[in-house]
Amino acid sequence: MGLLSLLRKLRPSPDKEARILLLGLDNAGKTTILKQLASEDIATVTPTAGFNIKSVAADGFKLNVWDIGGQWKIRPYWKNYFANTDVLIYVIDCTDRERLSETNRELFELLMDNRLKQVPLLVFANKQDLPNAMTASELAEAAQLVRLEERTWQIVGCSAVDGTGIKEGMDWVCKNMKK
Amino acid sequence: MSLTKIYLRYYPPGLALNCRNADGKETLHHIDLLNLKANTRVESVIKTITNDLQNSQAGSESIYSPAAPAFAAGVGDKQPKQILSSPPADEKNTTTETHFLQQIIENYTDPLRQAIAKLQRKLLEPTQKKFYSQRRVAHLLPLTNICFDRSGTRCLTGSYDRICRIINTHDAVEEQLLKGHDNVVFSVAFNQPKCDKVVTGSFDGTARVWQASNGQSLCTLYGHTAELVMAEFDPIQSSVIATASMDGSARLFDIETAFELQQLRQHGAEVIVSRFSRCGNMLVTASFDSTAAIWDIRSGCLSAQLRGHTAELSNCVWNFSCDRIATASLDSTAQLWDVRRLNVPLHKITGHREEVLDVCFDSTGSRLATCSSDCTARVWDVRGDLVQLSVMEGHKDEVSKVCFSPPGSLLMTASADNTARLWFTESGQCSQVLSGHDSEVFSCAFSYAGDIIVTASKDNTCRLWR
Repeated sequence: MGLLSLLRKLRPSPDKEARILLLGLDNAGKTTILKQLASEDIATVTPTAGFNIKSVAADGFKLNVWDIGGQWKIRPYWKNYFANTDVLIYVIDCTDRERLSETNRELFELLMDNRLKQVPLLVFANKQDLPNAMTASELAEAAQLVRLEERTWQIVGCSAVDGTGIKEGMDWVCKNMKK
Repeated sequence: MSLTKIYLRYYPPGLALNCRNADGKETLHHIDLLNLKANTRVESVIKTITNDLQNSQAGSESIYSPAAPAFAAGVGDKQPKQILSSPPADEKNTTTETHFLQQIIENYTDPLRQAIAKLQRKLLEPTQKKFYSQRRVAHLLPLTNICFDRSGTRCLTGSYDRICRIINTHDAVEEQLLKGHDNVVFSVAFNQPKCDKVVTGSFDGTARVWQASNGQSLCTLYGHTAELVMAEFDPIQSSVIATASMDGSARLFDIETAFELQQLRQHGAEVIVSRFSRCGNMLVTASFDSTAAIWDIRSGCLSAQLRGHTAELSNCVWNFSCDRIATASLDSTAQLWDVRRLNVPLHKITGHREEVLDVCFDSTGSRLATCSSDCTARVWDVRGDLVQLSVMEGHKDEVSKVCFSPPGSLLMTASADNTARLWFTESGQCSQVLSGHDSEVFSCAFSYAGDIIVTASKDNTCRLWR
């Protein structure tokens, strides 16, 4: 990939390309989702200490998906990656009830940034395969997503490990891209 | 009139003569010995120097005036000129200077002989050592660009964590943290050769100048409206910064006042490289608009635009003498340009099968290296006709950076396969694989003496090798 391709990815996406930003707390499942999208082996996912970028084809588009590490100490640097974002995907671990307010706070804080103002938001309610997971509608209510009046948004339940719901979410992404 | 000091420069070989004239005024005269070989007779070297001096007196064919650059902020004639004409040098002055130097050389033949012999002994030293990982420095996020100071005692690292670190290469201790940017620090540079200041370029759209000794911020250079991807000091006085930005412009800033001196606007897309010529009078820029451009700093005018590539440029560099420029492009070619004739490239380098990602000259400018997404690097002899000298094959992923060791016997490559590699320049054989990084290697550099290597990676660390 190299530094040069990082510069190329700073440019506004051409017509049939889009820049997708994948954010969420640590252990939410962002990298696993990214690997599912790229049809890669998900057995060896470790915490992301920087970022991962993959390009995937969907619906005639080339999606450049940026998966950004979510650990507490590197969250202040999420802003590095906001410019020219076409869709924001926010991933929430539906079994992690303890950190629900924390993830909610982070989400609403980043939505206040000017560069993400007009950007459509997809929330992946991840880990639906686990028995104690909140459903997508429970999460929507708990996270008060109704407060997002002005924004195009959607919430989709998914399981990154078995792939359920991922395609459905990405279909929404392609339909609602600000293009 | 006397010769008070002789400075040696090993890479590329050269001398600087510190002279004092009758009035007690001291001046420094540079003599480049780019073709010096270990077995050349010292007498014939001195003879060549004298002959060159006489020729320069007769022809006065230098492209650049020897005077220090004056940075005119005024707007001059903005029409691009196709050919770089020689500025009207003060001919009488040049003649006196030549005469003066000839006198010096005649009067001080013995010390000069010793100095040249010392340069030749350096050429005989073994330069193909093995390197071992010595130290590791961790950032919070991936690294970007890195560089050494002239002495090799400090190196600079840029990072996605917005901090530039000055690292002591001996014990890997962070001497200074340069904090202040609001986004990725992408480019880092010392003012060469003094190295008492640092300039950083950031995705926050600013460049900052820092005091290297205490990390104090000296000034912030505002003006660009998008990410800044390169910033460099002028090589003569270190008082002007040239920047390149994704906003499509290159700019010149004065660091005393932090004012913008010039906006260099001609490119139709992002500018990713801006490099001063050695004398500080010219700037070359490379752009995603598939052209490079040469600017006359004193007038702020475009001198020439280098049109020959059909896709984005990935880099452009001067050779040491600044009479050649090499450009690399995503159109899978590199091109070599003669500065006196810029309407067509001198050579098209077409060996690579995919995008050419980097290009560099060796220290004397006799060889060129290119690297590519096709996982290879190649070395070319560019002294006369273009000849491919060697192909470096072995990386398992694209090769994004390439550089020569200062003596030129080794080539270093950085790749997305998590390794940097060292190769014998002549044969293309791999000398060693520098492995240890957990993610792709973004950048690499040799110290000026060639005894230390630094590699920087997406794995949030840089490694020092000796």
